[in-house]
Amino acid sequence: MERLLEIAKKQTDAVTVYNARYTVDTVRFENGRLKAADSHLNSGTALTVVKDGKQGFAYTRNLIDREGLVRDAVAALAGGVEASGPLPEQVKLPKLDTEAESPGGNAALADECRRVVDYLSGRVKGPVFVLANWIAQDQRVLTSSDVDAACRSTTYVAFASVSYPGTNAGISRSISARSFTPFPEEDLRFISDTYNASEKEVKAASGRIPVLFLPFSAWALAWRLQEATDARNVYEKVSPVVGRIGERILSEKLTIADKPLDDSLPGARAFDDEGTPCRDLMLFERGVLKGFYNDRFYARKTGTEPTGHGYRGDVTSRPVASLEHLTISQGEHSFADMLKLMGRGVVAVIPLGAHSGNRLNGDYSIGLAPGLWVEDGAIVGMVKDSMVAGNVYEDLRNVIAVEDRIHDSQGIRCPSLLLDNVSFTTRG
Amino acid sequence: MFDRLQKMLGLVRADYADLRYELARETSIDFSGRELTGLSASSTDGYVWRVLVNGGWSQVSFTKPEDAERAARSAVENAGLLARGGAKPVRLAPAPPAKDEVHPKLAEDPRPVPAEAKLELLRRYNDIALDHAKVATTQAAYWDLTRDKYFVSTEGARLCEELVTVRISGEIVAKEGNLTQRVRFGFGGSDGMARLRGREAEMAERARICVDLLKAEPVKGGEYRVVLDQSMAGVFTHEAFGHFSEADIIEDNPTIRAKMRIGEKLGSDVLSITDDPTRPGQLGLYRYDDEGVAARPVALMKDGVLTGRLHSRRTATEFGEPITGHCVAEDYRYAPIIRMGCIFIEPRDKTKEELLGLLGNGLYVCNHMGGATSGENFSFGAQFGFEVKNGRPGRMLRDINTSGNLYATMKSISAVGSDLTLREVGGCGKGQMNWRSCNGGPHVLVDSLVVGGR
Repeated sequence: MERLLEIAKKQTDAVTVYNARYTVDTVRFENGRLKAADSHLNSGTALTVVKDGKQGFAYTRNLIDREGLVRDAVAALAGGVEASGPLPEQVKLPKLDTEAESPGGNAALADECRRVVDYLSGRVKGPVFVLANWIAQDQRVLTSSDVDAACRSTTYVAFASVSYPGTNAGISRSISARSFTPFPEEDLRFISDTYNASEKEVKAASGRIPVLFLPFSAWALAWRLQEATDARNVYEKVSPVVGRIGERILSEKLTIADKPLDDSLPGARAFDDEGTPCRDLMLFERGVLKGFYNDRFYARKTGTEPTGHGYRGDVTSRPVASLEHLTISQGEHSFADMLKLMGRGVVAVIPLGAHSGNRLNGDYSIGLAPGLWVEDGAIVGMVKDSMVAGNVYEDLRNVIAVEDRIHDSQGIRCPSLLLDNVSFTTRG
Repeated sequence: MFDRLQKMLGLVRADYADLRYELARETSIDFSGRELTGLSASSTDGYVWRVLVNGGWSQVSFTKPEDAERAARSAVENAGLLARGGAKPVRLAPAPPAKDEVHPKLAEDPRPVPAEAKLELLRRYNDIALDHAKVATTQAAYWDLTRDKYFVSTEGARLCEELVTVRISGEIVAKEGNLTQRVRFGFGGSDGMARLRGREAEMAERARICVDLLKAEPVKGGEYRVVLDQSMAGVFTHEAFGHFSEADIIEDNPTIRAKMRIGEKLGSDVLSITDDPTRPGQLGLYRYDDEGVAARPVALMKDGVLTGRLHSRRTATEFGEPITGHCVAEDYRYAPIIRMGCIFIEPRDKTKEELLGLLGNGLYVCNHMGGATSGENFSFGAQFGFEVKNGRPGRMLRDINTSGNLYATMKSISAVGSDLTLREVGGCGKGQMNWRSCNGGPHVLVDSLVVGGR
């Protein structure tokens, strides 16, 4: 990386080199039986150069031809892309605890998956699916402004589900941690108890009812808020919350923040992929809009300080603003309490089509895969061919309760959310 | 190149092994509104091992050639774990070890075209949208990717196939007061850059639709009879039916597998569905899949009866059915999985107007906004639609997302149009992204769909 930086520095005004190496081990059981054990050993390097206020970018997976990579990045300067602004300065970064010892390869993952399969298979009739991943990643950002930031992180992810006959829809839970962690019995019990209570198909009536969004479905709602608080959409003046800092937008039961420095959770980061120091960022505090997140490009465009949210999905991408550590704070109610508070309504387990609809406007319209029907505070069965729809800026004002536990779901950490008066449509 | 790969292949002690190497060259250009936010051209490469040892079947990707031996060792260890750990033993269906070199026929090769010319092309389309008074912003992207894929196997296969994909795509955002609306645009293909030229009228039409949506009303939730346009018919075919035609999706779900038995009458008499990666001029074109099997058209459904399925060599053995050449990887980072190539509803004889006349009262639903499936349940969104009364489209509607049951919906397709159109921009995210996934159909009349709404 140093050699690459030196070659690029000779031809340009400013240089950022980003390198990532990762190994992934994966084991998968399908229908209760060992199905796959695979691995990845991947790496890549991205180079950003600045000259005369313009920016060039190029990447490669396999850094053999450094001159070639520099040539590609320098050639891209001709496009005239405006540079992000000054590079980050070297600062002392907090030391985070981000890595743990490998559990012992795919053989250890297979043993844990088998334990989970055995637990669930003994309690439910449906097909059991279990997956475990062990990811070890090294990342380093080197800049011509003397930033040299590196981290090694490990993440253990496990997922377990039981499907209803004839579908891939079912009840699931996922966990993630910095180190290998046995799947908690509480979560396995949730899967088996909820599955058994909802196995029977029941009919329901359309209308406006309370809806309990489990974490996966709550993620679909949070996705709309992520778009709204992206500085790019603020700069373009298309965010529905532009100019509304300090205003109550959501229910006061909701506090939403990005917490990259929380190393009790996997993937904590002291610097982003541009080399900017990370910091915790409050987005909504008790429903009140507190801030927006940015990368260095949109920090400059909006005349604000960089928040340290410039991330690349992969070395093939330039950094863009992204909430990688989004957390919705926990509330005070257990899942069982929330069912009782609901009385009669539907539980949205997994959303189908979360990406559909006018997200920027806050609209959502999602199929339920499945929906669990609740009568008198208890799950009585599942409903098929059903949807919930609405707008987050209306529906997230009607929060009845927030679960007292945070779950991992689709890259965010969130509890279940019970909302009132949501439009529910079903066949018949 | 082949000699180097053949030498690497010698590192593995296995009952069967193959090695895929890809060299990729990508150009991408991005606008956010009138702001040029990115322009790059990069080259990269990577490898994927697949090994079969005592019935254990494992796959490892790697990027550095010096990691070849370590990756091969991991693959063999993983395969051993599967063989010992109770995984069902894998047997690969026989496939002739092909030796071939394939280059696409291109109407204007994007590679010699300077990045500046690509930038100006994209800027022109982007400006068409932004010149509209109520268009607040856009996201507009140019992308081309050339992949040189090399494949060798211990059975003697030795293949090189070049795939070239081009695309201009993005979204338009219109705003009035607090209301924003957005519409996607996209065109491209696998037959050259000429496909990206002369699309100005379409771009202007997309901007007009986006602005019109500011006046549209949200759809009311309920159960409707609908006419789906070609894009919606395509995404239904892909999402709801197509994924169930992929043998790896259903092989470990006993109830779905039992239902998807060849010979079962699952659709209405007017419904026939084909997947054909070899069809010329469409996005998903390829000659060999990523396990070296020659692709062929597969009649998946004929007059409502299930007639075929998409396979890898592994699943062809598992199901006792013929190989089809549908095992495809996104790129050098992934092992191949079963994918649709180009799936579509076979056209029949009705015009769009005749279908709307048959509909009478209901919804005309247009331009897909992505979809998702979960077993027999599916959901797909539309960018806009129209209320239809007495066969005539009336007021424009927005926020349309539909949900349904695959089997019930296939039986409720009561008429099929003649105007087959195939999608030019792909994007199927089954574990890995397939940008060349092509689908389409003619207009179709569906007698019952659930539409979510406020």
